[in-house]
Amino acid sequence: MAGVLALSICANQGVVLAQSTSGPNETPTRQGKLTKPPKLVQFVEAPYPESEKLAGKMASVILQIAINDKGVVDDVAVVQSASPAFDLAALEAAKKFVFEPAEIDNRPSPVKITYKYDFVLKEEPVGPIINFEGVIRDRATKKAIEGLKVAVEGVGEAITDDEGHFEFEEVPDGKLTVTISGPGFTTITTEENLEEGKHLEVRYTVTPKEDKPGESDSDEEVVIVAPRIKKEVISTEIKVEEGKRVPGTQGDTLKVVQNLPGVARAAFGSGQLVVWGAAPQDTRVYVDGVRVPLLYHGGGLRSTINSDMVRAIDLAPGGYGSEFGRGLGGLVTVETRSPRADGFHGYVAADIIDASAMLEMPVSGSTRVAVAGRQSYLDRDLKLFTSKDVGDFVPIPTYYDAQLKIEHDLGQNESLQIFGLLSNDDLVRTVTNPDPAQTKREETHASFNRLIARYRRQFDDGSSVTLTPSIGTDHQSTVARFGGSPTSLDNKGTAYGLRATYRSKIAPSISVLAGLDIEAQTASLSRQGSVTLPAREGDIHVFGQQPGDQTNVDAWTTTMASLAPYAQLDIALFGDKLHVIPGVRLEPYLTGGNRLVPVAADRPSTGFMNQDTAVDPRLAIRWQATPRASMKAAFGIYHQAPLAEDLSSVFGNPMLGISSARHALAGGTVKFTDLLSLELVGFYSKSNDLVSRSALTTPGLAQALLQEGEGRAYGGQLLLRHELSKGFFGWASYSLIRSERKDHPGREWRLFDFDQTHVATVVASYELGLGFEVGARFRYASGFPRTSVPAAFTSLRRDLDEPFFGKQNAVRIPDFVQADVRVAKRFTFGTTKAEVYLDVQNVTNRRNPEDIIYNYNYSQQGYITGLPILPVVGARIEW
Amino acid sequence: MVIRTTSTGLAVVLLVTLAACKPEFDERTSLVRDERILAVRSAPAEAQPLDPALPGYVPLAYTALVADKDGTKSNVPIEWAYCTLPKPVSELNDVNQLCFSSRTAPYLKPFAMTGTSVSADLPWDTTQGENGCNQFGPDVPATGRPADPDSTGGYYQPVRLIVDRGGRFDLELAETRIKCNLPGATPSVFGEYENRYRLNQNPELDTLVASSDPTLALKTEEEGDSGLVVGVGAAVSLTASWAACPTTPECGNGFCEEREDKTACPADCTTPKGCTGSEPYVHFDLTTRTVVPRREAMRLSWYTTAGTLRDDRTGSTEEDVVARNSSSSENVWSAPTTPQTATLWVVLRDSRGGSSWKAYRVTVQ
Repeated sequence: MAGVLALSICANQGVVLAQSTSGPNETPTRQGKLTKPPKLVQFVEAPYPESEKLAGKMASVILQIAINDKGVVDDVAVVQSASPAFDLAALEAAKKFVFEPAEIDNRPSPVKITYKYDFVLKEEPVGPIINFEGVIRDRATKKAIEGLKVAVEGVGEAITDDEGHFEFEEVPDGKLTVTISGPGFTTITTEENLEEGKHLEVRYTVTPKEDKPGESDSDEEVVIVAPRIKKEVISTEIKVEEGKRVPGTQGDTLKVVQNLPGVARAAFGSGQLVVWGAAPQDTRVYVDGVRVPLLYHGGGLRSTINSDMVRAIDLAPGGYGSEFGRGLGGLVTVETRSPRADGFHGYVAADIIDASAMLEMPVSGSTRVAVAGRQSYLDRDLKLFTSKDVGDFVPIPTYYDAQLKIEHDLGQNESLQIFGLLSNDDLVRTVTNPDPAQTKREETHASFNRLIARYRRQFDDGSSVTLTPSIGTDHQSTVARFGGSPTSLDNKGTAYGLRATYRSKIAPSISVLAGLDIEAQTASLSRQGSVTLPAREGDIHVFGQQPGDQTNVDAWTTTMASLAPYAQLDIALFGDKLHVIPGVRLEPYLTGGNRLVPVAADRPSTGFMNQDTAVDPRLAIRWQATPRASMKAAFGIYHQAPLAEDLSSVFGNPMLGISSARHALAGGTVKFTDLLSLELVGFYSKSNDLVSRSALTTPGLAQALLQEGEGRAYGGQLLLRHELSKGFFGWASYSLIRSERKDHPGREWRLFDFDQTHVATVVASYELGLGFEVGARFRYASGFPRTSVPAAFTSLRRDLDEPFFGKQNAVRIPDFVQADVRVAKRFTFGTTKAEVYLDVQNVTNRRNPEDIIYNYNYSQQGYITGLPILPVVGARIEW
Repeated sequence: MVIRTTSTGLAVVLLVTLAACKPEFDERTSLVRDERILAVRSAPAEAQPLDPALPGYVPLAYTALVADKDGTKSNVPIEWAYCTLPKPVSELNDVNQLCFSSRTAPYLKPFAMTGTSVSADLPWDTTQGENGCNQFGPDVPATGRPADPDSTGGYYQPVRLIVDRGGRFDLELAETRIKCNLPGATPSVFGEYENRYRLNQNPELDTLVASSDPTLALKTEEEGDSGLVVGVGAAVSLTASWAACPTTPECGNGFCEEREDKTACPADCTTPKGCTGSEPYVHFDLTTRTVVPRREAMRLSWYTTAGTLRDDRTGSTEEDVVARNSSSSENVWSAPTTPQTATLWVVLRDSRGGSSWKAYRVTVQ
């Protein structure tokens, strides 16, 4: 054994000294049985005698070494000589050996061993020694990248080979400044420390530069010295190439958000995002830093932004940093990508739901453009094939969306982007009935558009400035008639925004992010109908319940503005292992309107303006405990302005103020491998001043809504994720969440209408080869809470039965379980690629209950069930 | 219970499956098996809450239509009570659930009588100043939120009905339309409204004819057998009709209409009465804050003790009435498959809370 050890020790030396002990010749110095041989633990290399080396001689000296019961060499004698010079060198070296003592009868004992000390000449290496090398891979695909330039300041440059490998020789020890650059990649600089006499091997992952592909190196002088502060301590980022392959999404990356941990399964046809038990309107969606009102078209069929325009989507269910605010729940940020600069590209795609296309190209050396559009036709498909029930229960809107992005380089490290997007949904459904009171007609319209400009400048010191002004309009309208009771709600608004961001590294271990986030919105609203329609969260009602026939009207305008300066530091401690990220956001909210009380006779309307100022501290901590294990924790206070719809003096309350929430979370991540990780997070959130309906039999004037509600949500989530590699990616997530509300002081806590205690999702996709790809998704979710109906009474004037309710939200819809499968085949014809896919939802044809429905007098109940098996065939061609 | 699915095969990649599935219940409201209250009529159909001590005050008369498998029932111990508890906006039903929580409560004003035909005074609390218009109407204190009218501009006083069936209670809600002030109207608009608005008149069902003999109006239950004899399993088209009201006011047409009074049209307004069909009326439009003309929508509820009705309810929307002055509605009754005598009820309701009904006995052989 000692010999083997000695061999390995010598393997790194210029001269290989093959040494060996001779176990059988070990001579115990006392009587007994040798139970453990001595083990060489410290080998000392003998200097090769210069005279013998010059003569080219090699030899072996056989020694007898006396080792005491402490493992120390007491004596060495030459048993077989090689030459005086060899003998002497071997003797002197062997005297310095240290052993683990031998044992006789299991007790340390002195022994003598025979040791063969070999002197072997090895050819000396020619030229300098490689002492710094590494491999560079694509961060997303993990594929090796060939052709990248790696420059070590003061040393030289190397180009990565087809395995992404580079190497440097005879690099002087000390701090190295390494710069990586190449076509299609942002130039990045990092520092390494090469210890004296050591060999340094590194692995880098880089992200393709979306904004300037194909440019020459000379144009890529951007050096990222001030790294982005990781703004959310808990977040899940989905890569576009993964999202497109998730079954059930029909290639729509943004729909993947619904499968992430912490997100409740949306009720069928709703597309609502319920994140960590927060109400759908409490989770805000930002596109390039600008809020948009809708992430999905009606029914959740498709996202409002073309997936091919998207670089990444990120969901932070809570505890996010000070860069964002105005929402009590989660945060969805969508980053769009730059148009390609390397020629004319595009795609066309179609399935049974809609068709879409995109074109992108450079229009000059410094300007690129991309345009995309989508038009649905599912509503027309269905008319051909479906039963009349479709309109009763499934809203199938007609929708379209379009995006245009123009990017222009103003100079080195300076660019201007213009991004325009619009989305439109229309839904008309009429349910005729011989009974005039049962005839229903509903027309809904939802549209928005945004024009976003983004100016970016990066300075020589690594700091950067981003300015993002935006303007857009929102229009949401519902006109419905239930029998003779008209209902309408129309909300037209104009949204203005300006986001200014400054990033810099103010000290070697401190980065700063500071900025100003301005939003203003004017809205003109009108509403007619029952105060109880549409139903709010917390309203006790059942599916299909006829709305009340009391009616009122109001028309009002609102102005809401907020100007929020914010700042956030990223303090790196203990060699970048610990990041402390404190932040604060100062947010004054201005809320105004033209009608404080309802119109009455000739009384002129009275306007109002309220101001609430919130200070929202945020703190996040990330600790890289080991290279593969990290811990994280965050705390933050969040505020949210009231909805313009709730500021009606007839249907709401113009004096509503801001609501607040506190998020606290902690968790950790373990990376089992570079690709496989497990994240565990626990959280608690508490909301105050939530808006709920007045429970008074005689509400105050202009106080149909009060701000007395409280909310709390707590639980945890788990995410086991395998990054995309070798054609495979997937994740398994599980969320255990309890979300509750208390509508008024003194009331009991009740389950939140959207509470889903258990949500589990497993997603996997694998490329089989030859262009074939298979994927599967499994989902399980607790059913939404519902209120039981133990009895009913008959309203003889309206000739309908109305329910008596049991304890609020004390029963649940049965659990949801569904499996989906996706099979795709890709073809390549030169630079053109085609894909045909079959996305089969609910492959087991399970009838998942989506809601409880009752017969006319509530004596029988059944379930509305969701989609049976649904195969969706689609095709896509891109070039 | 029958679960109906909408899957109809593999037609074109199962687009059909996008339809969610709903269960279809086999129990229909139009089939009368056990004893039920089908309707309540108050006379007059609309009244102003007044102090009963005022001279000339006339109490309201209430009549309930109670049916079972044998026909119309007349001696049913219905307990009547006004409920004076308003409904909070957080409740989506038509009435505060507490109105049914007990048989007696301070906010319940029991009628002195029980049975299917009773009379009572609308709640009027002289000491508290409470009446239906400040509990269920617009006359709330200035700091309170007025109740919302229905789409015809009406406010309603809840009437709770209970039938004790040996510990199991049938619970019904009747509502009496009450005449109140206008919410937020200027004096001139209010004056115009008062001048033009006429209290609702209960509608009356004129005739019910069968397709087998359109010239023969069926006799009502009170008159004996209807005269209609059908074979077992036969389908019979039935047409119920009511009066076609004049579309424009005209003195001398027998109806005291808008802008007519004892002075302007003594012939019609000395003993004022309204049309028993789809009456014209004026409505205070909350959006424009003006008085606008409207027509009542009409709704028929059909019931039978045997066989099946094609539709549980039929009627005419306000748009139908305005466009065609419609005054009839059709249904199809499929006779039972065994010989017997079946009873049909047709309840006619107008959109301002008025109602009436007729019953018919049909021989199936």
